[in-house]
Amino acid sequence: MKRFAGAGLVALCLAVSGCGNDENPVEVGAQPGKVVLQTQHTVGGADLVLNDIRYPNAAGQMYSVVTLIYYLSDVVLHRDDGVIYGLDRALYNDVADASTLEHTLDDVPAGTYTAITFTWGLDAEKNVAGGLPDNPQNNNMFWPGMLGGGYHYSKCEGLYLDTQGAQKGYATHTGRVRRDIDTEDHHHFFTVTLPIGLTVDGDTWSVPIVMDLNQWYEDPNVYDFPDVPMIMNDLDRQRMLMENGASAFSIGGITSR
Amino acid sequence: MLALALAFGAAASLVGCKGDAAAPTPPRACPDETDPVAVGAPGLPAVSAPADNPQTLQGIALGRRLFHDPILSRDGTQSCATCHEPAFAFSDGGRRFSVGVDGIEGTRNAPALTNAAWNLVNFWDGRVTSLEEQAIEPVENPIEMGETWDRVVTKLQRHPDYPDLFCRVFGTDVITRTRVVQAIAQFERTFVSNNSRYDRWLRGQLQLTPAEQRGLILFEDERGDCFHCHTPGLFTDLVFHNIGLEASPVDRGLAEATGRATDVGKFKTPSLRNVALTAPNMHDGRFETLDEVLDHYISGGVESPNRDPLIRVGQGLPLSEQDKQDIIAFLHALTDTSFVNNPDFLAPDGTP
Repeated sequence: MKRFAGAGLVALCLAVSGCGNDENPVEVGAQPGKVVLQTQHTVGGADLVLNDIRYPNAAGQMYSVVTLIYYLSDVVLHRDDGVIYGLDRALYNDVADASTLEHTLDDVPAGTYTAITFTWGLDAEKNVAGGLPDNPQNNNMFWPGMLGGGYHYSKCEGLYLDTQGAQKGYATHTGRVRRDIDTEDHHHFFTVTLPIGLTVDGDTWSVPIVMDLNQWYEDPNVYDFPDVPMIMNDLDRQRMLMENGASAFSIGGITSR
Repeated sequence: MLALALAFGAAASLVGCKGDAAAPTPPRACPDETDPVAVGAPGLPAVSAPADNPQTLQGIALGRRLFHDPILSRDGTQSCATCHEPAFAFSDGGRRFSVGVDGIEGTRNAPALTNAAWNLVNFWDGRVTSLEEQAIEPVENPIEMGETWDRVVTKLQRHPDYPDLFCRVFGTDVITRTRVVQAIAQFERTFVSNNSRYDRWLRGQLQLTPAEQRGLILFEDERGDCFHCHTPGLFTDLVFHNIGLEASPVDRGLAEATGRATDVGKFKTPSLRNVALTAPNMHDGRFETLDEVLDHYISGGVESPNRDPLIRVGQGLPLSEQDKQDIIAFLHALTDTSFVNNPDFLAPDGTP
């Protein structure tokens, strides 16, 4: 695990914007602590239940979620004096495997943190073949080279009822698009910034990152499940999802543990 | 080890002086060195042996002999290799169901053992994780080897060769079930296939034929949509899926292991490496040919509890007959002749 504390970035930040806060120094003797990020999942505000066609999306389709696997990466905690603390790695989340839904940041410097940022999916540097550690989880996120290469950012799969009431599959797979007619790849990762409020002083905090699935399908673009689940090379749908995904995240109740 | 043996010998002599108890045979002095062997191969994901069963030359040699020895079966007719033949990528030579010691057929197709070291789970229903655990079951299954482990251990312990072979691997000639399956698992971890035409194409050593290239493209895009479950590298995601074979699955698959209704009809994704040699296909061997397999996916299968969302029931795959033949051509490019003809996998000298 690579961690970085942003001494250099802090210096830059102070020089450029004066964002340091000398009036609110870290208390002398305060100790580093732990922050446990817990990824949680809702649909329309209700806790996600897998394998049940019970959720209406904005397009009026009832759907289930069978599989939900995704990466968050480059998590950064922002302290009120401008210091940043982060993880330069991808966090793998599989809703069917609870062991993947907690991510611990050790040795978080003492102080008051006001924001968290992270990348949805993988940035261009990580999203190359072999860019992530070689293990079965990452290998199964393989995104074929001719479609852009690297890894799926996410796989959300399930069933929905079509207008005739028949069950059809959907596969909301997000990632990079490469088309023969383009000279450049189309990346669809984005950065999420959320306010938090916690003071680290030798203790451990749980910080829930809540993702609401319906947001991916309604805001600002109403997204209907396509008749055929083929969107990996569909630039329009990938863009719609990228625009919608930014509003899918929120921070739940932060607790000390 | 030698010092211990001498000390024990002295103690045995003293006991013998007391009279009627027969003097126990002193333990064999075993060599205390083995030759470690790395697990894994270039071009395949990282893998390792269990910490309590490190891979050694001696262990592999012992496992090879045990794998091919029918001494594991009740009537001395069945070895592991009986149903897992090297020439067929360790599948059962075209049989839909394997036949055990009493002539009774099983109910599932014997899986190939290509790249067994990478198996996170074993059996079609994933009921065990390690190769060591897997090797325990067939011996006592009444429709497979039909033997008991106590009898197997006794037979091996009395065998003229095996105590010495175990001694070289485990530092003791005391044979146990655990040591037997550890040796077999070590041999199975050598079943590495990474030299197919596809692999050599990846390494820039040859060109795929036009049909193979077209098949690869279909395999790796969403028209054929093979890659999501048969993920390149191992060509399996090592996960369980219901692929819409039956409306009401007769064999509950993964649910047999987990007891969960949401697992009914799910089976482990088999690797497609050497799939041209491992027919018939599916957990129950229902499809004799790759044409039939592709026809199933092209048709979309049938609605079934827990059918995978990627199985396009009622829609099927948008593939032409030519597309299908191209995918099959690519699947043949996954045949690794150096793997299935590897002499190191055949029965060693001394095997009945």
